[in-house]
Formats: sequence, C-alpha cells, structure tokens
Amino acid sequence: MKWGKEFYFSTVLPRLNRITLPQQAKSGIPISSHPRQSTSFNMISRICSARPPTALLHNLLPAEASFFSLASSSSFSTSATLFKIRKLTRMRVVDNSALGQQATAAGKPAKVFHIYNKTSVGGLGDKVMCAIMGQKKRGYIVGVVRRQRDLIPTMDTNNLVLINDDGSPLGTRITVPIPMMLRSKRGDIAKILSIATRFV
Amino acid sequence: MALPSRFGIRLISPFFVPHRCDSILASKAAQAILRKDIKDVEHVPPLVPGSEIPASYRYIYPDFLALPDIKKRNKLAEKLNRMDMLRRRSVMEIPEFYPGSVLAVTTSDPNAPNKTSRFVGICICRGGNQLLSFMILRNVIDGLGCEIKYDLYNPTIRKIEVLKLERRLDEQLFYLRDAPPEHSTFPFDMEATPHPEGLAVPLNETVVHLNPFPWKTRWELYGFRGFTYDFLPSRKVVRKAKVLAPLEWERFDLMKKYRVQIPLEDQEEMFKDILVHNCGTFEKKRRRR
Repeated sequence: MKWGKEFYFSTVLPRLNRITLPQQAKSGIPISSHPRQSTSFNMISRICSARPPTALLHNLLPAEASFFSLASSSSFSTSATLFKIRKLTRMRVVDNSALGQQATAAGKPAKVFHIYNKTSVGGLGDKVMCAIMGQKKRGYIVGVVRRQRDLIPTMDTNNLVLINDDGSPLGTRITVPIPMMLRSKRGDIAKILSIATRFV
Repeated sequence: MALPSRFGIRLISPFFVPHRCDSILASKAAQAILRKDIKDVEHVPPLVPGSEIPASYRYIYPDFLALPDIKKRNKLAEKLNRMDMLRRRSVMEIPEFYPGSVLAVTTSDPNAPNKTSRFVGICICRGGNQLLSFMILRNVIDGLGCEIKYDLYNPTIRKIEVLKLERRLDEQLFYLRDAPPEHSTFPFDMEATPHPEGLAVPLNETVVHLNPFPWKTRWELYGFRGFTYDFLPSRKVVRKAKVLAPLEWERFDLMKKYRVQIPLEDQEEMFKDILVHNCGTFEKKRRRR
C-alpha cells in the first residue's frame, strides 16, 4: 500500500471528517482547473466547506493510531526548538511601565539587540539592550522559555523588565511571578526584585 | 550547596515528544492491574506467574526500572542505585502518582525568605530512570504558565504531597502549553482530596480543546488522545499524510520490542527490593500503633 497523497484522501481524510468522499475526489482527479491552487488544497477546502470545521484526529482507529510513527522521509524538521534568547528575539515586557504597556497594546514587543554576557545567549538575570517603540532601553531577563535545570522554573514566555539608565526600574510593579533563583544574583538586579509581587 | 554531580546541570531537554503516545496507563489491562496494593496481593495478578510481586508495581514504581539499553545495562550499578533509592525513600516518602495527578512539592531553597519553597501543579510528565528519574509540574500563576522539573531523588526535596490522585488519557500532557489556562490552573492553597485505599486510581477522561494555531509543537502528529482542536484547512494539512504513515513492519519487529522493554525476569529482580522495603515499613507502622 502506498502512503501518500492518495492514501490521505482515500482513508485518512474521510475518517478525520467522518464523511465519505465523492468518487471523483477519491480518484484524485482535479476538481478545479484554477492554475494557482493545488489540487489537494482545493479539495480540502471544498470538503470542509460542506461540514462544520471541527474534526478530531483521534477519530482514527485507536489500534491504528498506536502504530503511527514519524516517517524518516518527512520533508520538514520535527526537532524541538531551543528557545534561545539571541539578538532580534522578541520579549514580553512584564512590568507596568507606560512604555511597556504601550508597546504591548500596539503589538510591537521589545526586540533584543545586545546581551551583556560572554556567550551572547541570554539566560535568567542577564542584562539586555532592546529596541522598544523606537527607543533604546535596557532590561533584565526575568523568565525564559528555554529548558532549565531542575528546581528552576521555565515560563511560557520570555519575560523582560525594563530599567532606566541608572539601573532603576521603569515601572512600579511586576505583574507575573519571578524565579526565586534571581534573588541569589548580585548587583543592580536587586532593584527590580524589590518591585516583584510573587516568586516561584 | 554542594550536590553530587548526578544532580548537576542537565540541559538535555526532558520534554522530548515521543514518536508514539499509546497510553499504557489508560489501557484496560492497566486499569485492571492498578487496583492497588500489597494488601490485595491476592487480587492483583503477579508480574511473572508464581512470583510475589504484583503486576501493579511497574505502574506504581516506574522509577525502579533501569534504562532498557542493552549496552548500558550493569546489574551491579543498578543494584547500588536501587539501594540508594530505598535509603532515600526510608527518609522521605515518594508517593504513588501519575501524569495528570496534582502534586505539591516542598523544597529547601536558600533564596526563599523562610528557606523553603512550595510549588503546586499538575504532573505533565514523568521520566528518567532510577536515581535520575524526574517529573515536571505545571501551573498557571497570575496568567503565566510556569513549569518546574523536579528530580525525585534530589536531596533538597523535603516533601512530596499528592493533592489529587488521578490519571489522564495520555502519559505526557505537554499539550497543556497550548491549551486554555484553566486546564492547568491550580491554587497554591488547594486542599488534598484523600484517595480511599484499595480503590483503583480514577481515570480522568477530560478532553482538552486546544487553542487555535500556531502551536509550540505539532501535537496532532503523535497520537495523543486527550485533546481536540479546530481543524482548519491549510497547505500544511496535506503534509500530514506523510507523517501519519504507519511503519507496518514495526509491529512484527521483536528485536525492537526487546530493545525498548526490560524482560519480565529482570523487572522482577528490580521490584524485589521495593517489596521487601514496603513490607518493612508496614511492620514499622504496625509497631507504632
């Protein structure tokens, strides 16, 4: 049996959508002659327009699903992302400073363009320079998505707290929990920890 | 704080997504076996015919199983590891829990104001083997998802409490990262609901409806049973067919199974120690009474 486009349209897709395909679609003959649209894409949109859009992948037979695995010839990478904070990484500003809130509302997150350490990969408690709403600001990383060692929390977003040139925080409050581990850091970061509300 | 090197930094990501997620725990056989415990030895089938060890041990104590890699197996090292684990268990109880249970972990933390920190969350993964076994807890705090990985045998852990003992349809719940926050929000002052002894561990069959795309990982590829999502037609959908293709020969590959599993005779040897240990603790408890 061939596991390709044909199999997908004849077996997988009907089960996904709990429908039986018309004979034409099964045989793979193009329905539309529009040159810009690929056959398959057109077919899916046609099928889906005929039924409500919710469908479960798990409607496949459980016994069969358990034998599903990644084919080695897949055309795309499935390896996990490293979530490194590097230059041009977008960060979420988590203090209540006017600048940060304005940027969040406008959908223009802070963009890191320098990291003050030797590896140039940002970690918890590192100082970064970032561009936000056309301004140049510095800030501290207070939450990372990247995997940490045990007992140190990882967050769903990369979090940043903005500071002034003299090292004092721009806002008056941090709205999200902050890793307890940052309290062991020395230096100006103590100033931003004083406005934190909760530690994890 | 000086810790042994085995508790040092390991940035190898523990959150790999396996190729297949057939839920062993949700299977009917497991449900029948998981009826608890030493008291009901007569009702629980033995691991190997004729042995004293109940079959439920391989679900209750998965951390006692060694890495099933033939090249890395070393019976002496495993035995020493097990002795270390039991020594740790005699000091701190590591309760029975499964991915999907809600746990609270108290650790001693030099940075915390009163030198201890407590975290509550749903166990989304349990992995590793022997002394290196770990779990990952997830909770949404102030609208931000936080995950902490705990090594079960880390000596800085003071207490592990099970607030709610239950199982889910999958053994890894990483897809909660792309689910609405209410599915992984638990208050820190959550009260423990005690599990009546002798009853089977309940199976929570909630099916999570995931957020719309984009997701952090393509969860739909791996055969999870515990979530649904809105199916949106796109060009990417066409590529799924390739990925979903089953490799037919795999189910006949005995060597592959052998490489992934530990033979039952070896499992029996591994669980023998914990059985003796449990009997000892039961006797101690009786004496106290």
